[in-house]
Amino acid sequence: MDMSSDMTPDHAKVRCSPSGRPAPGARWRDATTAHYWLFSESREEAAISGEVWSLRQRRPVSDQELLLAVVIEVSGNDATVVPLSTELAQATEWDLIVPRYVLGYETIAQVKLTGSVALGQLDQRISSLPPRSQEQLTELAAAVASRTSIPPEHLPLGPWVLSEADPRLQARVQTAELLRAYLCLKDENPISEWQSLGSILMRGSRAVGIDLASLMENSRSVEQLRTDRLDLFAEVPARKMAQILATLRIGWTQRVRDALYQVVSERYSATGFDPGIVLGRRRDRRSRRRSRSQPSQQEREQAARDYVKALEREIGEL
Amino acid sequence: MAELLTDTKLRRLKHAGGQHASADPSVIALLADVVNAYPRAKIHWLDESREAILNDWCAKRLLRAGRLAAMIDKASSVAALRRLAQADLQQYANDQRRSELPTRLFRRLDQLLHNRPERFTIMLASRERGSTCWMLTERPATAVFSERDGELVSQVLAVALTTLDETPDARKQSQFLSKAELERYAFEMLERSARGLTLDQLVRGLVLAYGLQATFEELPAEDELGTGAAVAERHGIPTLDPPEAPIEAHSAAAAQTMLARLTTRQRGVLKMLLDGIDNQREIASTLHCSPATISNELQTIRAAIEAAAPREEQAELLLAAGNLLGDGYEL
Repeated sequence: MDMSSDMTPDHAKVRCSPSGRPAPGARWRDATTAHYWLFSESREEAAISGEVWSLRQRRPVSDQELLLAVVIEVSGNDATVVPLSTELAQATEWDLIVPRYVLGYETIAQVKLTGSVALGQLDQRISSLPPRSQEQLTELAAAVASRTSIPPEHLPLGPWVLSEADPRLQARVQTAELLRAYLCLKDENPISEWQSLGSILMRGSRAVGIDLASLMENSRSVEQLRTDRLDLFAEVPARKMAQILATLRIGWTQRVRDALYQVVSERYSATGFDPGIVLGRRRDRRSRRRSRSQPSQQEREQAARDYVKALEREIGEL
Repeated sequence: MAELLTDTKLRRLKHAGGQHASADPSVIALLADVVNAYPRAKIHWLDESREAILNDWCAKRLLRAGRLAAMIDKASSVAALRRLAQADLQQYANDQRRSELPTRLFRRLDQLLHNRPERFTIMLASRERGSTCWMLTERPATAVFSERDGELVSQVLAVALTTLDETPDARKQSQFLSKAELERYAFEMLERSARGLTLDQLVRGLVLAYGLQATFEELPAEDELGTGAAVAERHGIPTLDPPEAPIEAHSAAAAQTMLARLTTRQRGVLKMLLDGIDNQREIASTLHCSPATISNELQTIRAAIEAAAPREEQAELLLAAGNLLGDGYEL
């Protein structure tokens, strides 16, 4: 059963051409490595934005697995990095697909897991992103930093997560835990996009193939709804919201409830409308008087509670 | 007998690039040792000889997908590389056991859809079973689902299926999903998307989302696929990710000019650097000169690069230069 240890698998024999040139897919990396070798002595920076490095864990561990990451910023003794993963099946709409030629194998840049490391953790420079990929990564990282709930369009990203039940979300949470050995995560909640009502509605819209704008009477409100800037209390009656959720097949989960509560309490402006209509109450019921001054925190929270309660009632009646 | 892989050598191989390292005899020897020493009980369903397992593992996972290069990049030591290789070998074996699943799932879904007319009905008939488009009986669809794999994967993973674990003693994994879970899958895919899906799409969704690809099947050569990107994608060949970085015309022209300014020896030095050889003594020995001469030549090469392109374009310039040198640019 044993075989000789110097036996070369058939496919390994054809990796290099007779001239010794590497197989296609590795030459960008060779070019950037040659460039680094030629100029590294003359540069002051330990690492430059766009470079791919392997990183050691924060605490010394023997025979450890290194983390591959793209450096996006260097400041003092720290670097901000975006981890790379070879688990392409875990790619979501927040993971940039890195061209295969960058490393010679496929990876995704997990922007939601951006973190900072000490420069001393940098182990070895591996490659560099081409300018186009670097621009794309910067754009996506900026969207994460500004807490945008939907990634910019036209970037090479993984398949969208359309449901909270998608196992990729749990995988991202688990990866975040493992990455703590290497870096300090910028965002403590790696699935923060699920705290946004606009993001949840957009995902539902993509899942069922129904444009969110077609469900709203005022199409100008759609952009505000997408970005959690719409005063739902004033603009979207509870019955209407219940219909939207049902049409988009979005279940009434704790996360949806929390996201909705958050938007209403943040955007409630208490101007010129009848809460009875918004909340679906009968006209003869007593309505609170609205003040035109800025509502207090207490009023906002009361409005959010009322809206959520009304919505739950409407969902039950649908 | 191949040279032993040491931590120092691993670091050097990594510096040269995982792709170069993948063919190194000492790395191959380590892989052979991993296969040889791996407990048979953990991969008992693989019938082949250890040699055949090594060949197949290398062909399907390590080299074609570049996984060996990735493992080398991620290993801090030979011991770490060995551990990564062992985990990958187990994954290879697991994939082998699941290799018949797509066919079985096709049959099971086909049967299920036909046997439950109260739940599923044909939206668009076809002579091919796989191309038959299905919808819910109680909620007829008016549109068919997108052909994009990304959208398909999103929908499948949103269903959040509970998959069955492999039976430790089984030679082949034959289930993957219970009968009830398979029916839930078909129903929810049609219900959530509110569109019609073909049997092929329902199976492909599972294959893509859960990594059930039959990796042993040779993919058609890209040049045989013509211009049909959609066809290529359906065969699993990425059409948006070129195998090599594109080179702009101005970089190619700048590289041409830069190389023309270098002497034959300087071009030889640059070619060796681009081939991953950065040991000055080795370069000097190959080019029959002293290391001090190589140092001087490197100064000239640096100046030529800086004169030819701004810093952010120099890597692409070197890529273009590498192509020219590799394509027989006269040294």
